[in-house]
Amino acid sequence: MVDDHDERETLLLRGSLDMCVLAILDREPLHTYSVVERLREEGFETGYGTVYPLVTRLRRAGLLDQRVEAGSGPARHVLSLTPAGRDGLRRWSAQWRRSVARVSTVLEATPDRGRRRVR
Amino acid sequence: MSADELDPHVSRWLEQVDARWRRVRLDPSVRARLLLELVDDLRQAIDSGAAPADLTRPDPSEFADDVAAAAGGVVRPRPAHGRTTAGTTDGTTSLLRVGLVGAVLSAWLVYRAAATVPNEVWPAYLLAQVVAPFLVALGAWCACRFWRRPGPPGNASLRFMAVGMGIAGLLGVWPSMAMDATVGLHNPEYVVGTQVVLAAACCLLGGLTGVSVAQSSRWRR
Repeated sequence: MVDDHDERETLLLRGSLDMCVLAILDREPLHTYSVVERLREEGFETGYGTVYPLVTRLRRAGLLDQRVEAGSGPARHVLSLTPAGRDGLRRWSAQWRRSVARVSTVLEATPDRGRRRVR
Repeated sequence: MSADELDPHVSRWLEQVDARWRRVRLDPSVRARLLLELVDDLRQAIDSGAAPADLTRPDPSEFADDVAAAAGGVVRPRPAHGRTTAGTTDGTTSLLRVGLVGAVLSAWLVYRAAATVPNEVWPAYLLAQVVAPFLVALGAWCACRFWRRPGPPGNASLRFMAVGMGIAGLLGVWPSMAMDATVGLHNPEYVVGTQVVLAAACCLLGGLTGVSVAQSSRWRR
């Protein structure tokens, strides 16, 4: 049997990537590539080519805003959450926690306590 | 900041992304805005120390489609089969349907006028009447399929379509009209009227088919 562990993990993380981007930008405004770096630090195997379209979608949805960062040198654009983005992050986080709780309840009830058997 | 000022690897990749947006005929104003934002974002990423190879996805077309879709410029998923095969199959099938309906109606007209057609020209007359709808539909299909440019219709495209469909209509009805004149045939008014309506309907349906195929195939390039 083919071990699809990595594929499953990728799928699980991909579904929550937009929420994680919002969470990272809620801490501080960042440039797109800095978001990629933070995601990698958190264990996501992702790249600029994936995050840039995602950020574009979130901007279009009005959840992110791009503004010019004050400072010397050439103008730098950073991404930050809009009020709608903060509200969305709050709702998505609550939804995520509910989902995790449901899945955990099911897994905890199984005899092997959710651990995956690999033979 | 222009794309030329970026790293050569990133510049080449950007050109491929932009070429994809051109191929799928993304609205020019949307394309210009997306390109400007992307160039600016890439410049900042490089200034932040990103390796050029780390910024480019292996498939620039896929990236271009994702960004366009995310920005609201609709890009349909690319089908597995090729544009030529699909376009030809769709077009031929639709064209045959339109032509077949027209040919049946045209044959009915010939039957109605049968009493007035001399026996010696009967086969040629029937052939001309049955082939005419196919010619009309084919001409209109070609006019719209190959001359119409998808996206907001420009004046030049509309002129091409109008002229092309007009020529198609004339080519379709000319053989039977010429034959009518040759044999001195005077069809009842309703027959002539129905022929004109038939030619116009075939012309319209052929044109619509051409537009439809042109629009669907633009995403397959």
